[in-house]
Order: sequence, then C-alpha cells, then structure tokens
Amino acid sequence: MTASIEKPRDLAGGLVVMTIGAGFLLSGWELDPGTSLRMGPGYFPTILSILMIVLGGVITALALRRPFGEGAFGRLPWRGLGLIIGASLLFGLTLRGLGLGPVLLLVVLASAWASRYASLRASLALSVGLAGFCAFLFIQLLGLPLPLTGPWLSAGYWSQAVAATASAITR
Amino acid sequence: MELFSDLGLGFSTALSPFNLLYCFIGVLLGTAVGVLPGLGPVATIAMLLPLTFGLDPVSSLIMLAGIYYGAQYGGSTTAILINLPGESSSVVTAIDGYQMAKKGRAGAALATAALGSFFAGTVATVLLAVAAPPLAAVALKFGPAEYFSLMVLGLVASVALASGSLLKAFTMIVLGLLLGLIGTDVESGVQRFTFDLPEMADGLNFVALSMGVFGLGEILRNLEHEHTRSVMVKHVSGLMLTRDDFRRIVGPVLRGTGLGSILGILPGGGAMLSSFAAYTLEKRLSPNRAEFGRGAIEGVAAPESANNAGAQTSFIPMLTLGIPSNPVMALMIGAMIIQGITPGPNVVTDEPALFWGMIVSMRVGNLMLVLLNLPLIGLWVRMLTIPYHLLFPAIIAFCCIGAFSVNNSTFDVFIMALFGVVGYLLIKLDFEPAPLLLGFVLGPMLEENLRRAMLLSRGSPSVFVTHPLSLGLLAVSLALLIVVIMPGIRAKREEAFSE
Repeated sequence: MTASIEKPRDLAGGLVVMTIGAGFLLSGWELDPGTSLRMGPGYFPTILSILMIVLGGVITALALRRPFGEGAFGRLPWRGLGLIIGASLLFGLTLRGLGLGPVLLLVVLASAWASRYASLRASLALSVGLAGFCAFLFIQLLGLPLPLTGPWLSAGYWSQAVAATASAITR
Repeated sequence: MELFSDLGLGFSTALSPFNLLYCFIGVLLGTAVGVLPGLGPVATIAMLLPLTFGLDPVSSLIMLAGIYYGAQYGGSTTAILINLPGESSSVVTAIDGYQMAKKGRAGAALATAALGSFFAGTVATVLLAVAAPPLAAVALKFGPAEYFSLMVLGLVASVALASGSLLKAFTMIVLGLLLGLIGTDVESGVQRFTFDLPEMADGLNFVALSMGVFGLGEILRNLEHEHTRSVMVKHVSGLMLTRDDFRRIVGPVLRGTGLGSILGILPGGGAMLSSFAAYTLEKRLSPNRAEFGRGAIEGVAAPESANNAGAQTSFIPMLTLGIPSNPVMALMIGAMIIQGITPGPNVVTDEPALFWGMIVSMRVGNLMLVLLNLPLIGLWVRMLTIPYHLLFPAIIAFCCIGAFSVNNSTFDVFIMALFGVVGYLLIKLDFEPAPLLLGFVLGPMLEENLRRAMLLSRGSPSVFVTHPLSLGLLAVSLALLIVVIMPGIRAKREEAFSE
C-alpha cells in the first residue's frame, strides 16, 4: 500500500494478524450472535474477527506482490527481551513472597543487565537506591498494602515448611 | 455572563493550594519526561495513573494534563540542544532548532519555543473555554446512532491522519476494539474471551495494557539502538530575543497557533500532526525560505506554537464528547472512569469544577512552564546527560509497581509483561501501536451504542443513514477515507510525513 511495505516483515505481519483474527473467531465461536435486532454477545466480536482476518489477508497479499526485500527484521535482541520480560514476570511471581524491597533489588538488577552499557557496580548501586526509594515512596508515603520483606525471608516460614514436609515424609 | 461565573469557579478550583501543587508537579514531571528521550507522556501517565487514585478527580486530572502539555515544552529542549526529539511532536523543531544551537543561538531558540508555546497555549485554552460548552450541549442531544457514527468518524480520522500505512493503522484499531471486548458482556453477563479466568472478568486492565505496549515495548525498542548522547551546548546564554527575532516570529507563531488549534481537535491529530503541518506551511510562506533547515527561527516558532496549541485543543473532544483523539486522551478517559466520572457531554454540566478547573489550570500551568523552563534551563541540560541505561530499569520498576497497585493484583503484572512482548512485536512488524489504545477504549462504547441503535430502530441498519446528523458524520468519514485512499493525495500525505 505504501512504500513502507517490505516483503518478509509484512508477510509475517499479515499472517500474525490473520492468526489473531482466527483465534478470536474460534474462541468466540460459542458466543451467541443473536439477531441484528437484539445483538447477542457474539455479534460484534464475530464481525471484528472476520474483519481482522480480511485485513491480515490483504496485508499478506500486498506483501506477496512486492519484490523480495532483505534484512527487514534486524536482529532480535533476545537478551534484552528475555531479561526485561523475565524481570516483570519475576516481580509478579515473587512479590507476595519476598516483599517489595528484595523483589525490586532483583528486578532492577536483572533489567539493568539488558543494556550493553551495564556495569556491575553501577547496576548494584542503582538497584539498592531504587529499591530504597520505591519502598519509601510506595510503602511509607503512599501506603501501598505491601510488606517491605515477605514471608519467604523469615526463618519461621521455612522451618515450618520443613517441619511440615518432614512430618509428611515420616508419617 | 455565565462564562465569567464559570471561569470564577475554575479559578477558585485551580488556584487552591492543593491543586496548584499538583499542577506544578504535573508540569515539572511533564518537562522532565519531555526532556528525557525514550520516555514519552503515554508511558509516564500510565505509570502515574495508579498513584492518582487516592487524589480527588480534579487534582489527578489537573496533574495528568500538566504532564501532557509539559512534555511538549520539554521535548523542544532536547530537540534544540541535542538534535534528538524528546517527543514525537518536536521532531521538526530539531531541524532548525539544532542548527540554531550550532550557531550559538540555543538561547534564542529555547526562548522562541517557550514564548511561542505560551502564546499558543493561551489562545487554545480560550478556544477550549469558549467552544467546549456549546459543543457539549449539541452532543447531549445525540442518540446511540449519532454516537456510533461519531465514534466511527473518530476512528477513521485517526487512521487517516496517522503516519505510516493506513491498512496497518486500521488493523490496529480493529485489534484494539477486539481487546476492549474481553471480559463480561454488559448486557448478557456472558464471559467473553476470558478463558474462565476470574481475573479477566472485568476485562484487560487498561493501565497494564498501556504500560506494556508503551512502557516496556518502547524500552525494548530503545535498547536496540542504544547509544550515548552528547550535549553540545553546556551553557545556554542569550535567552533574550532581538527586535528582529520578534518581528520574524510573530507571523509563524500566529499561523502555527491557528493551524495547531484546528488540527488538535481532529481525532488522531493532536500535537504531532500540528507541528509537521505548521512547519510545512511556514516553509512555503516564509520570505526567509532559503534559511529553513539551516537555523531559521521561524522553523522553531511555528511547530512549537502548533504542537502546544494542538495539545490543548485535543482536550475538546475528550471533555465534551468523551471521545479520545490520541492515546494520551485515551488514558485521561481511563483515569476519569477509574475516578467514577462518566466521560461524555455531561462532564461540562455535571462536573463544572472539574471542567473549568482543568481549563484554568492549563493557563496557570503554561505560565509555570515558562518560569520553569527559561531560568532553570541549566537543570534540564544536566538532566539530558542521564544515561538511558540508568533510566530504564527505574521505568521498569515503576511500571511493575504501577501495574500491581491498580487492583493489588499480580495478574495485572503478567498482563503487562505479555503486552510488553506484543507491543515490541507490533513495532518490529511496523505496526504503530497508538491506534490500538483508541480502539481499546472505544470498543465497549462502540458496541453498546451499536446495539442500542439497532434495538431502537427495530433491527434496521438504516437508522444510521436516516438520522441526518448520523448520516452527516458517516458521510464525512467516508469522504475522509476516499480522500486518503486517492492516489494523488496519498502521495502528498506521504510527502508531508516524510519531511
């Protein structure tokens, strides 16, 4: 459609769009479309899903008509992608267990490593500073209902768990 | 005069010490955000949304608005001093602004940007105060069919005026609409696309989604092209403009303000398009045409006035119709909904303190910005030197805490992570994600009005063309679509965006 269309990238883009459309169409298959007078929960989503598939199809078709371009993707920065998405997943998984302070230390340290200019000393300093600042801001000033350190960090939590496992094994 | 009593209410609201403080925090943060490249107002407002839940609605919206127009100011500083636009709307400012800085006229360029923005902001705010209430009164008479058509027009216009491929922008809108439908269907109570997860019953969290796409997605994109920045001008002096400078900027500032005010109202327009259009116009009209690209002061004055005017008038459709014209306005609407205010034409009459308070606070905020920007320029220059690799881990930490704190739910953090990947992939595949957010906000409203209109018309879709107002709106959308698809104009459009 415009000069911005490049073959491999738009081929992939069109296919992704079609897949998303098909995914919505399939998972919304059971929703009642109703009638055009009294539209059910499935009416509008179905129209949109079909529209999505059509749009994806057009993008794909236009991409196929273009001569082959190269290197449209560039390299995927796997390290950055993994570290940054991993860091936010880690935050979600361990927040309640570790508490805000320790989690932020880990998250900032991990995500800082995604930069090619990262150095251990700077990252450590940054994570300690940020963890302290955020803990103060969010827990002290804004009163977020979060523990500074979580139950996983207290000795009692683990000794109880160990005791429970031990008794389970011996029984 | 009713306007004066309304403005009186606005003044008493905006000038309360508490709201003054939040306005100040807003413009301060906004300037900082504008100055720091790689951190945009969308991501920042999304990050700060959870912090504003505890405030009253007026203060929180005053602060969020301050971030938006403050960012327009800050963006120009970065553009002029390091030739890197801090915001997309200051891309064109960088062309001549940086050249001026190279010639040792950084101070004059910064002063021009600040004064132009201040003037434009003043005019646009007056326009907002005068035009918004009658527009809201008209909108109150809208039925579901008119609303549906209006939203269609809004979405079509945002596609037509966006840069890049129309087809892809349209695809992003449809995807946004679909994502907006996730959750419990309001009318039947049926769960849609929730995969039986109780956390999804209320739909995808708006804040988590926008932080994922615009926060994490942007970071991933920036990390790909990481480089160190160097500030050329360490000490800025000569902020005073000469008499000749004044003579040269009057015309561009006036034209930029006019153009920006009009384009800002259009959906999809806002600050960025305004600045591009104003620069192009000046280049055609100016007697100093030859100087453009080599440090023409007009090339700074026009786009900077236009983007500030556009930023302010883009509040008009948001406040009067409840329809966002750009992603920032979509976030503002999200903030209103979270605060328990139904966006739409009722805001002007039901929440006069909010409406008039916001208008006056913009005025006050603009004044604060001039005072903040010119004398404190040294501080902002120093801020420019903060390396990105120390900045983005902080953004990630704030995003995580922000996503969690909306509902105290770790599920929302996972949603944010998921949409971080989605946002990055979209950028990689050359899909501009901004229309997605508009679709996401409008999705449920669009469906609701479509259903109601069809119910009222007994299932006949002709209702959209028999109601004159609805017909008019649809006709304009169609005309707009035809105009952008026509080959001759398409070439012009691409030319305008490629400058």
